[in-house]
Amino acid sequence: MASVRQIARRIRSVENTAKITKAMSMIAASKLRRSQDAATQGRSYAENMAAIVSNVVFQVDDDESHQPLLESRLIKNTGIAIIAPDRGLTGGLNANILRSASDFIKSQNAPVKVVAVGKKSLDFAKRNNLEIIAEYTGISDRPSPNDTLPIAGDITEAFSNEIVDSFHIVYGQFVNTTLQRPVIEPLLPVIPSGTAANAVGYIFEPNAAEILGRLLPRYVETLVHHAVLEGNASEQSARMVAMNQATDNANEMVEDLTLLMNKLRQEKITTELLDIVGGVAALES
Amino acid sequence: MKLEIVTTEETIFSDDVDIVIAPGAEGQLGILPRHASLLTALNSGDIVVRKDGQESVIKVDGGFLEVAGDHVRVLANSN
Repeated sequence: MASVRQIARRIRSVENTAKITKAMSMIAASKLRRSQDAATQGRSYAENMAAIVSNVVFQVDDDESHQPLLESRLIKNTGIAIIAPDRGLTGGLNANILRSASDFIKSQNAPVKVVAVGKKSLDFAKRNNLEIIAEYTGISDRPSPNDTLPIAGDITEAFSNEIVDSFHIVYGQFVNTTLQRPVIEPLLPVIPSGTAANAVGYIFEPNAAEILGRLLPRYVETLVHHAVLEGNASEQSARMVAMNQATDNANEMVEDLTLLMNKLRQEKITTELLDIVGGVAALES
Repeated sequence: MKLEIVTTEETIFSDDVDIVIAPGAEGQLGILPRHASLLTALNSGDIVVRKDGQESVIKVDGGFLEVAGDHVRVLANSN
């Protein structure tokens, strides 16, 4: 049986943990608001871009303008960009992202090469002995296009140089504060999202091929940037919820321990009193 | 005619307008309601927007401009 003093020490230590997790949760909450705004406001650009690309792709004749980013080849090697946080303490988020990446890799017949974004992603790639095309860690909590452009650049380059013949991206999609879903999306070759039937017929300036040549790399950049933003918002919200939970658990533990400690102390006092009473009785008789 | 100007970070303009003048890759172009569907690259410069006689100017650093139906969308580069 633990002594009263041991329990008291334990309570102090749990209280300190609760303070730390509380602080982490509050930090995550304050970062979350910005990350969430960035992710949701960026959606409009990403969606418009997707719609336009889809329209253009249906209108442009494949042979007339040869676009390297549209070319679907026989898949000899496949690539995956894994966007995961740098740090842990995010509840199940990291594990979920990496699990869906792992499932995807297992489902592929061709060898898989990785663009690792975030330390957890890099660790995962190394642990599984995957070939790493590029690695990015230490991206800020407010990712700017300058942070994500090189990532998109590496991805398109690997694809154009036929190092890989297709590319997917996996990241944690921010649905709401309590729900983040790992999603896998095809990145390259670019597959139009709409259908030919409701595509808009554009007049192009200067011409379709040139527009498409500019639009496609930009589209990939947008998708990558958006994935990083979503991943960031997911990370912050997952951490906020996980650390909140941890604080609650710690507080509950403090309550239980305090109860136990008081009971023990009471018992000790009772036995001491009984001893004294017993002693007095023995003297008097 | 509805005009929307978005960057990767935010929507910077969204309103009904009378005319849009934009720095297209092939020269300035003015877009009035019922314009044919169009997709053009943009050069860096000013987008001039007129609504009820009020004029506003929005700077862009290149991007794309799409006209489809009664919608004008500008995907502006922010960096």
